[in-house]
Amino acid sequence: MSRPGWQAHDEYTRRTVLAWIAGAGACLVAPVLDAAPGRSRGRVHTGLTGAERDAARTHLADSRDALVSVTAGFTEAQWHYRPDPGTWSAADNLEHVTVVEEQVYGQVTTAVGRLSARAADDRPRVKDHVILLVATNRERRRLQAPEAFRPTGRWGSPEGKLAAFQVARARTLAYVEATSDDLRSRAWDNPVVGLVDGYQWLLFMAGHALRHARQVRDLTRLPAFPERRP
Amino acid sequence: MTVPPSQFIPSDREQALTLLVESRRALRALCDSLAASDWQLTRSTGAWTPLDIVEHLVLSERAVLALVRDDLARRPALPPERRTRVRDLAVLLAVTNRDQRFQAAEIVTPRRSFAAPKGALEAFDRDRDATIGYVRRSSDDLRARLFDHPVLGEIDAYQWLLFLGAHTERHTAQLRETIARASLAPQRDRRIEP
Repeated sequence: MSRPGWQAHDEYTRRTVLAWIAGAGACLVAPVLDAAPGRSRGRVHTGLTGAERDAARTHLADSRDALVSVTAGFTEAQWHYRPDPGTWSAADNLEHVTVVEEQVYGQVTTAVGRLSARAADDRPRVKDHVILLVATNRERRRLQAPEAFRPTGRWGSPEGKLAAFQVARARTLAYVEATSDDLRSRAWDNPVVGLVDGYQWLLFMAGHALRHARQVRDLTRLPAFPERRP
Repeated sequence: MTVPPSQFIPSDREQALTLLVESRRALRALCDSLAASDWQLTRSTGAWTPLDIVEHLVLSERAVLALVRDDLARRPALPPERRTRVRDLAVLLAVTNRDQRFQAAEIVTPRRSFAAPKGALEAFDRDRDATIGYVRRSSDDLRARLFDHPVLGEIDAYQWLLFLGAHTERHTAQLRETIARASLAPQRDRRIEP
């Protein structure tokens, strides 16, 4: 790589030479998501594309299944096990995910009426798969949930929490199937990611549920996690 | 978790310096613990060896610093409302999340240009020193210019520097995993690149 070459070809530098360092943008897992905001900047959206709808549906269903399967057959002791007072139990995690789901669902489904449409060059510039990478990364830092989203015993028993989650997620999935809302043109702040559009908020809901499914899975791997029923 | 400030401020500089210094320290500590034979181990045929990973980090460091330092001067500063909308934390979390693998760009793909680890590590040290020196002394407003990142989206020059530290962390984890897996494999299954 010669220095004069870099200086002479600014666009080459930007697009080709520096494609990325850990990758050329060839996302192996979510190529559909990779395509969405950057390439769509110039076109007018009047709703989700088929690819966007498929990707959201897949991520929402898969993360629901992960959370349901990791808690399947839990005993009462397993639902409420916490290794220390500051760590959430499986029941706490499920309640938190459901509270967030309900809150975000309300924001997404009212976004078109609540917020003005942004011009194409004033929309979020973060790629869709980054939302999932950020939401599911549990290694770097434990994030503190805002007070309103912390578990307080809503929906009673673990079974009640599970039913509430299933209802909330089914409602989100039904919205994804049917909506013609222009979610790409509406954006509001996500406390971890930054400015995120309405569609990306749906992806965040999926990533958030998967993050907590993994948190529960990690609980089950602790030596003191209660034994399952014989 | 704060929204990026619209200007480059002292705490930005401290955050970047800490990340660049600490990520290098962790990489060096791991590399210093490797036996000579470890440097050619791979997880599978064709996968990167530890020496390949360090070469990739050298190439990445040079490419990113050149982008930030040289391209920045040629671009006009953006008004505050046009600056990054991605939080710094999101850059760090996305880059260090290894759920997804990415294909390295040609320009930063290892070419086996270092005959031995010593040369690669010395090159990395020199290039990281250059990055740290730039961050320490620069008076550029690193928040005022955006550069497209094919994986992350549009991020500012400062976030590209954070990316360098997080990227080193990502590959240090990969290196640790490569060694651990190769060490656990039965002797007959251990792959040593020629």
